[in-house]
Amino acid sequence: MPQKLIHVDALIAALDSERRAKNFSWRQLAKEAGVSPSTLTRMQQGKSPDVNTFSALTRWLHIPAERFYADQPEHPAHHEDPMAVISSLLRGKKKMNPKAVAALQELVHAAFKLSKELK
Amino acid sequence: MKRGFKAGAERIADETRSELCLDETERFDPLSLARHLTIPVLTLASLAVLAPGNSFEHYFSVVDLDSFSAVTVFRGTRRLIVHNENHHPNRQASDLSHELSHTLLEHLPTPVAGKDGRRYWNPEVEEEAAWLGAALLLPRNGILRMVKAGCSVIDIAASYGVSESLCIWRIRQSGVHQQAERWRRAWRT
Repeated sequence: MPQKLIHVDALIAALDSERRAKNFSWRQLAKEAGVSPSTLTRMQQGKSPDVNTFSALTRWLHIPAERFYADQPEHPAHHEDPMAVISSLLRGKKKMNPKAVAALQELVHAAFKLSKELK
Repeated sequence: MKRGFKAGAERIADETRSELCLDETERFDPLSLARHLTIPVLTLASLAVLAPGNSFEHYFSVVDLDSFSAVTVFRGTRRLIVHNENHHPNRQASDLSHELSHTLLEHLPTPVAGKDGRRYWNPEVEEEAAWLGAALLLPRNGILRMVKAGCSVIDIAASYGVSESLCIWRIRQSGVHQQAERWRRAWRT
């Protein structure tokens, strides 16, 4: 039987909503559901889970697995760029001069633009 | 730092190293963790090639080499890391380990700078990432074993591919120094 396509973003959104309701971190969710935290990070990166992980996560959600099946790789319900601002986590000097901040903003915008093309 | 953070971070470091099949004596390669988590990592030069017409590469590679180390850029839940490849390899390992620690600790992203033009700086988040980043590079049991065996800071730093200053900081902060001292005293009596 061919493997079903899964809406990873929809699954991540459902997991995110449920973990927030339970006041769990992603790490706690992973432990509760019996999957590795790294798997959840990979799913956040857009990678599909394997069959066992998918099954464990839909069981944890108490949502039928079929809800996350897709006939098309791109699901219309998937909202691209939910964040209104370009955000980041930076390691650099605590205090930067205006030129450095401008160069950094340019860098982050370039990376953000590129991230759309990365699968 | 939040109560219990340090013990929790040591656990995350041990679990993460285990996932990469590293024992306590082996060197941590942040790029292998990035591959494991499927987080793309770009250098300034590789980003500049893909984004021609920008000046950030020249600025952070030539004009102001020290200001920028690494950044994780978010698009929704997806992450991408850009780092400064012009720094010493030990510093690059530390920078990337720090950035990946933000992901492992589920830190939330912020805009680069505020309306006043100053960059955002959250000392608690940075302190946590620094702690976990060092724990990934320098596993507590591994450095304890080396300190007990009489290895110097230079030896330990070289073995794990980190700077001596990071190694000294980690040995002191993790309590390894005191633990090794107690062990030595017990052996003398």
